[in-house]
Amino acid sequence: MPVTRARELLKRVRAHPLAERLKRLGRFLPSRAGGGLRLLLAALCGAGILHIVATLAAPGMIATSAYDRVAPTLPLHQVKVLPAVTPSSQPLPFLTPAWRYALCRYDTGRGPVSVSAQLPGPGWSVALHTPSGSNIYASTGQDGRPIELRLKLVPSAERFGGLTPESLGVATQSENRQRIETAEGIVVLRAPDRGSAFAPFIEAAMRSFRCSADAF
Amino acid sequence: MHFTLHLAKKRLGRFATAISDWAIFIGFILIVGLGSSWYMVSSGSALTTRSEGAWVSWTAAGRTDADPYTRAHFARIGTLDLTTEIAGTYIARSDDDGLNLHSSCEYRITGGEIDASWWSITAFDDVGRLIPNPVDRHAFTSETVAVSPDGTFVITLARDARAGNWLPTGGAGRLALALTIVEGASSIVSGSEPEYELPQIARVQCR
Repeated sequence: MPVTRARELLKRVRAHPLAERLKRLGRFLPSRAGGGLRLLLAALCGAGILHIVATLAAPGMIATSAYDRVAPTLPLHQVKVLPAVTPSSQPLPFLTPAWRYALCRYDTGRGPVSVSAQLPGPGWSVALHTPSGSNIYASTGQDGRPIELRLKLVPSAERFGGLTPESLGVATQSENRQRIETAEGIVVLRAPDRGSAFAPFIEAAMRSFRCSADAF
Repeated sequence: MHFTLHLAKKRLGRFATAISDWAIFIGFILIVGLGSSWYMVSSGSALTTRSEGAWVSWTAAGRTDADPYTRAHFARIGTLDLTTEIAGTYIARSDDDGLNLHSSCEYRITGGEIDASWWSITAFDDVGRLIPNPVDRHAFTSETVAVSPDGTFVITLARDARAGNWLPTGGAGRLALALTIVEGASSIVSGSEPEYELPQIARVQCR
């Protein structure tokens, strides 16, 4: 009985106007399989290719990424401390006001960039965000152990970035910076907003955030 | 004359049928190809996201080796997330029963001690905007939340003032909660179950 029903159902499907159309279209495609089936396979292949192309192309085509929104408002190699995030001053979606933010846009195409920041405690962090949204570097503050970060952003390890300050006889202390290869992006310092009582302490620590292009 | 007209009509009919057949074929490719891409980018799948109760997190957010879906997702929503190597960002758009969070309802968010260096819970509307409210409160953190003697906390998400940790929702309509955990005891990247339990979201009442 179920076999008969299945045959009837198959007959109905074959007689459906859409199935007729699929058959007709399938004649255009060279294959040993039936017209409707080979057309369905071709459509699925086409849909798969479109799926892959659309997914890969989306980040480059969408102009609403965080970098695209924020970068134009930031001066190059200068720290910009954002005001506390409120409903009227929220630069990005899902940006929590539990943090205060200081940002610096960098471009190592013009030479190495030096970054230094203090991470006094838990919740503090420094992260390098590339235009594609990746964090190529991130560091967080630790409980009871203030961290002093010193980074040197360079275009590539192979590229000559000029003589070091030591070799020029300028610096008195030895350079002890972590080298990071990167082209352009944003350095973001996040500081936990613990209320107005702690505001002077937090703002002082944020002001110690430095970001500058190295002079050759 | 009649014969020529008839012939032209017949040819036009054939042409229209062929065009509509190809339109269906191309339409199918466009709908399935773009639709599946849109779904995978906006909602994710088990390959790209991890769910804990009502909380959903993209496992490769902010990572240099993120998959194309994760890259496209964050390019589309435009958020500036920390890498999952050091922080987990979870979004909840529904309560634990799967019902959408809405400002016309009151919710109780209960959590235990989260073994992380720092965390925050922030209330947004469904597109990620902060909700204006008279007390100008939008988030609680591990430093600002009032904790019970047993280490647990309760945050009430409601339109009108409530005692304790009250997070106002105003008249925002649909809501989204964002939970950020910095340096949790277990890494979200590893895919292992976290050692802490994420807060539970229970609906108390609706108006």
